[in-house]
Amino acid sequence: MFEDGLLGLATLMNPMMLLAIVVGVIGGILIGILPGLTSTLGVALVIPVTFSVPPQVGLAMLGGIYIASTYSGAITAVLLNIPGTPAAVATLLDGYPMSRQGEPTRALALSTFGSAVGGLISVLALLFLGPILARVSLFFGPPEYFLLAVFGITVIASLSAGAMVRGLIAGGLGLLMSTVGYHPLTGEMRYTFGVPALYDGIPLVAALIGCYSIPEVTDMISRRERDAPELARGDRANPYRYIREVLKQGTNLVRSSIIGVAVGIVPGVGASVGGFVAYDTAKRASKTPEKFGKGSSEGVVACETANNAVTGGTLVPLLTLGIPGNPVTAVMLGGLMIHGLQPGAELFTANADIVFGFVFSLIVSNIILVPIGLIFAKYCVQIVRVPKSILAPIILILSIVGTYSIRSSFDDVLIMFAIGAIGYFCQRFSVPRAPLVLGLVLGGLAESELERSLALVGGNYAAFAVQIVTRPISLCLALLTLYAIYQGYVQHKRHSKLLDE
Amino acid sequence: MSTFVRSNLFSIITLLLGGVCLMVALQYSAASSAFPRAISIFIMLLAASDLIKSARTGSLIARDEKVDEPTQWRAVLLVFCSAPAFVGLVKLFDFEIATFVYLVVTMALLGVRNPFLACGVSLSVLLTVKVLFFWLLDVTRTSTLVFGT
Repeated sequence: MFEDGLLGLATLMNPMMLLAIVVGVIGGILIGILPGLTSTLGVALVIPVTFSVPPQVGLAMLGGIYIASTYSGAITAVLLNIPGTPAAVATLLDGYPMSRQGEPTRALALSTFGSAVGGLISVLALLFLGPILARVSLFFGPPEYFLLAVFGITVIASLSAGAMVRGLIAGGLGLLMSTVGYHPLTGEMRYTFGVPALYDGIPLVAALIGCYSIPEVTDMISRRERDAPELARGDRANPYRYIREVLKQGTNLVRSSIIGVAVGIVPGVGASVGGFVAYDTAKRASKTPEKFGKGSSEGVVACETANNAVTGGTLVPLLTLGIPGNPVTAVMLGGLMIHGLQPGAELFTANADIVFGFVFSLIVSNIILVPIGLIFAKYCVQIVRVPKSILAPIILILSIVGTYSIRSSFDDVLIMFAIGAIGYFCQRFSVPRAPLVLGLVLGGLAESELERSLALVGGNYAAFAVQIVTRPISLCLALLTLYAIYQGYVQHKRHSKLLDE
Repeated sequence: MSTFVRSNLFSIITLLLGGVCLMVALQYSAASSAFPRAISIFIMLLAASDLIKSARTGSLIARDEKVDEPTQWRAVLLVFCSAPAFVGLVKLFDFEIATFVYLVVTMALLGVRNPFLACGVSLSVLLTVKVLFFWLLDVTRTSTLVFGT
């Protein structure tokens, strides 16, 4: 294996390889910044380009795009309160307040460093623990998936500090929205009202854009006289000075990376959930949980570290078992096969130079993400100085085009505005929107896996409960969920007490 | 609108919404609608408890902020009317003209008085969108291939 690793390392000496990584990272950042363009689409668009180059060069470019587009969704989340990609939804909870306080450069620098560290740790996990972790993920059956979704949903309690009931209602609305479309087992249409665009359910990216950009633009227009926040004096300084602030959060970085890798390994969960779970865990572990939601650096670092750590995690089952955990890796699987590479245990022996070259290129991508990301951040930060009367129409048009680009459908644009109305409704009534999104993301998984688990035991709820208790992974997840609910309740009580005082 | 009324209005709206969703869910087969039925009941229970709590204590929303109502409604009208307006413009003309007209008109409505600035910004945005989305990324064609729609 050592020789194989050296062979992989040697491929990095190829200038074409380094050029591919740089192009991939720059392209990925651009894709992440534009609303509607996701990592999946970015990787899919570049696969034809990789036909004409050697496999390791093509894979390096795909890896660069995947990593950079997962990170750069944070740029718009921090500056405009609009997540560029679903992975960045949790980042805006603290990134945007920090930016509003006049420190957008700090928020972006923390996001960049956090992403790079999370990405690096996840690649190391892929390198050393990949085969073992992949085998553990094979023990995940419907009950485990269901409990994983329920565990994710319990994060709602933490995201709704001070408005727990409203947060739970928003989470419930998100879960209801996830039931739109055909039933996963019976195929019966629900809540579609004969609209064909809803048959496949509410498109997640359109919902995200609507939920965040429409209320934000409305708010921007209504208070455009009270314009952009002043940049804090320290904020204009060198962004590299914040690297120490990130490195001081060693425990937070490692914990969030582990969460990200673990979430990434389990197929079908995704980077947005990783970000939320890491945020929630960081809040519970923090000495200053009251700062969360108000521009906490721990919150920004936790989300960004975790969502980029998901990238390495998702590659574990892809490379070792040939199981794509999310749409991006599904497209990447296609890319691997087009280049004649068959994922699985043999990949690490028969094509060791290519695989290890790819893994080392991911390390380089995560490292060069820092300078390239910070250069982009430096110029993007000027967005906060643009008058709102100019910025608002631009965001609207980008939201419309971004939503249209997903399926080339104007129906999606109308769905985006409808979700925008719900988001605006939530904003007006001081209801947190993050639980709504979390409900929408996890609802489908929770419902389908619950139905499958019940089907396995003939619809018997008692047998289902026994199944949970007797399976070790599901028991661990159930205990974790109960603990999270208890912690959420304690946190809520503490918050209410503080408000009373 | 006072905070107290707003607080109750939210609970009433969600209570009604939960009720409507439950009634619709009851029309589907039990096998397909157990999950939405449970969630609807859950929402209704939460909304009812929020209503009761609000009525009993007269509690205020935690994160209240003063909102300039007339300006807010103008913004809402502008944003939500712009969606069908843009779609209509695209169907009448083509994407380029529709985007340009839409941006210039919206900026003018928002108070940009310098026509050169409005036209310049609109053209720049149009060019960026064309280059990034349609020429460089070839979004329409490729997304059709990828997602099969």
